[in-house]
Amino acid sequence: MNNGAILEMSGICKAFPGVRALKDVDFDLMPGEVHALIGENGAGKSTLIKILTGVYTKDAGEIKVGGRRAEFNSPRDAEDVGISAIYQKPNLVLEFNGVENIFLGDEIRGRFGIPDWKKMAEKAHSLLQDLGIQISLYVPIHQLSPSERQIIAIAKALSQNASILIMDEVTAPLSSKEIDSLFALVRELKKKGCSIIYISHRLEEVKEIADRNTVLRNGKKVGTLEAKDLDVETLIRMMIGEEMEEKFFKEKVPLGKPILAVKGLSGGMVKNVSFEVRQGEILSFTGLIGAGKTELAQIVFGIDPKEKGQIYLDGREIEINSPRDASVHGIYLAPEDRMTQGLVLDMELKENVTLNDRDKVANRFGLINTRLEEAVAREFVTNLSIATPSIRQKVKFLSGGNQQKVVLSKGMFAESKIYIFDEPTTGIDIRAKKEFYVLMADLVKKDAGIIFISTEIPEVLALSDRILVMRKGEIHKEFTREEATMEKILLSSFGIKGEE
Amino acid sequence: MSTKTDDIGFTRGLGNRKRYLFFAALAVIYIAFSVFVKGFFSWTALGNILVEISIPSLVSLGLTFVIISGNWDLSFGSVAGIASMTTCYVTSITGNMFLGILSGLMVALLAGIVNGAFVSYFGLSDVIITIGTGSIYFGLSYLYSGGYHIHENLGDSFGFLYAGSVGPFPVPTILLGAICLGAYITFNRAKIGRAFYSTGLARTAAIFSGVNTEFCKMLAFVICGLLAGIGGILTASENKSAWVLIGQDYLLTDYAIVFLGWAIFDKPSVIGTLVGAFFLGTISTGFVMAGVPFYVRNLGTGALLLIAITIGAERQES
Repeated sequence: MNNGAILEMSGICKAFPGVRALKDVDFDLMPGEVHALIGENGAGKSTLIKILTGVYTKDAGEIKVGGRRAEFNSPRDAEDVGISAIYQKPNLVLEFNGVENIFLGDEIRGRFGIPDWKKMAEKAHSLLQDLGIQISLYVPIHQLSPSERQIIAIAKALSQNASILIMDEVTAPLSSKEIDSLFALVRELKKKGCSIIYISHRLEEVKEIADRNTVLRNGKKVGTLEAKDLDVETLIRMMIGEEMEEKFFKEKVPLGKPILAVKGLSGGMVKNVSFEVRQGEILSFTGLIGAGKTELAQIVFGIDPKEKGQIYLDGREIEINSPRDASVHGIYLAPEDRMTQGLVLDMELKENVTLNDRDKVANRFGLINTRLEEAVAREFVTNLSIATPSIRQKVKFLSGGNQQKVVLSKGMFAESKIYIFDEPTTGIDIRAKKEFYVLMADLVKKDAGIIFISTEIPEVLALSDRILVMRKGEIHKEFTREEATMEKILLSSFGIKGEE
Repeated sequence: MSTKTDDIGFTRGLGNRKRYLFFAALAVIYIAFSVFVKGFFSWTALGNILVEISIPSLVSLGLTFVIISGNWDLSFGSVAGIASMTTCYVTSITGNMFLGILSGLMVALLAGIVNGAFVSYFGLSDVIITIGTGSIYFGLSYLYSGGYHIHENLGDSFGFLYAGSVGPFPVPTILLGAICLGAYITFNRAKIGRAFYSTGLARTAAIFSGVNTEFCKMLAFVICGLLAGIGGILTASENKSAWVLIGQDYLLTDYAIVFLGWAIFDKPSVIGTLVGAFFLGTISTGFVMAGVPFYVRNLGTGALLLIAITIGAERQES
């Protein structure tokens, strides 16, 4: 049944204690092909990739590389047959330069085993030249852009003669322009006969770059689609296994009085930003990555210093110099990185929920009322349907969507008036996203105001009352919910004139 | 959902069983000493162990505060030294023991504040800072006597601190019990305990959650300094004299104790530190009763520290 595939995986099974991670999965890859692997979180993508890179060993099934059976017992075995993986955060040493990174652990050695840097530099240059890319190879790579670092990681794989490249969410930290240049490189790699397994949450990207798409769901293969048969709706349907419901829209809630007002705020890259959030309102900030949205949120929340401007709460000017000040005034930030900023991963769920307002579960001697705390945590677990075996579970063991619900609980427990959500739905699956939208919409029904920061325009359109597009640290354009369209927002994000 | 474990290396998947492994080891050691060392299996010996471990336990508890809030302190040994020297110097000059103890504690407090301020408010490296401050405290403690023992005019009651007892309970044990209780409540019931743990486990997340992490770090160093000071004063009381080398052997013992506790209970904790101290105290008392020379004890303690770190303590992510 071989049809010239460079990689054939058939009947792959893998179980973890209590969980079937993969069941009878087939996957193949042709020379010079980009084959996308698609599925919700927990669908089995990572497990499949870890088997292919020798991190996990399969329970059953067969892997053939170039028609020959291969057994991987360690990552080394996979590398030896030319399989190499590149992740969202490439495994590079930031202080080393490009040449040093490319040959790290695989140095070309001259006489007496001394590394031959001249030879390595030449080889690195010719590698990049082959791909038609110019990057400085002699500066420490922390000076390079994220996409250039990805390219160094790819060059490193190629230097080890990788013929099968796995790209796992590599575009996550990249801007759309950087993505374009990365895709140009991918096409170049294809021409050279390199095969690529491509994993991404961004379906639009997959549509652009993949020749074939295999969808996984609950550890099983749902099907494989040719690029020409592909449309996003079909893909999503295959992923979630049911007809996609109506797109979610926020119910219109009557807007109350303004809660938070910001006037002429500057600091860092943020320049002269003014806006106002009312009770019941979801105010969105969108724009390209690096437009200053997160920076703005962190100034308002007291993480980064404010250089100019005023912040008013309920009409009165307030001074915010630390997150503590912000919390006192009822402002809550669900930060961009929930793993390092939003949650203490090694603490229990209940401890995380009450962390922002410990006073409320403590008596006047500063001792925590355990019973009250447990009741509080249980209430949030029920109300937000957080899937967890126990309120004492360490939050690092929860899925992304459930972790985000814990982050939300923290703000709700502190009875915040203003919620700032910074990219709350990154890295969580479609179902969890929808649940989260509903929770956000519920919040504003209770008179809270929301500042919603997102680069995903569809969700911005679905949820916002008003949309502010940021560009280069400034508010570039404001849209009401009625006037906003995908196209208008995109155009103004890029600063293209004539959007009116 | 997949079950994940954080264990790495050759203890992968051992999980909670690690704890039982350590307790089994403790039992084996205890039985072995009981069989081979005459008089080890007795209430007297057990009582000796409890008194023996009171000073290391106290000092380790202080260190536990610093470690839980995510820092290292390498200076507490010298803080113990300078506190004991100050106490004895002031006592012998004024003849007032309470004034002496108060001065000693003030010096220990001050040392803790200096450590804490440098590390938390100036954001400097804890390891380097406390190596530096430690040698300063050590150097300063020479000033009182030029390095000679201070033992004159301390008064009889000074020895009572370590050797005395109230009812059936030795004073150091009472002190340890009280401080343990306080520390236990702090970490397990008080809201400041959450602040300590979150500061150590995920400082960024703690800051975003409105925790005053600088204050926590500061407070941890101050408590560590104070408890080291108390340890030093008790050591001086035990010997009825102070000299500059008091505390210089604390470092190994107390790190071994904290890490042993960390290994057994998967995180640094009050109970862990106590169990670690008992573990180490059993071995060292057994060795003493068996007449093993001191350097062999050091060797054993060092080995135990390595074992604890290797098998037990979760490795920190970079």
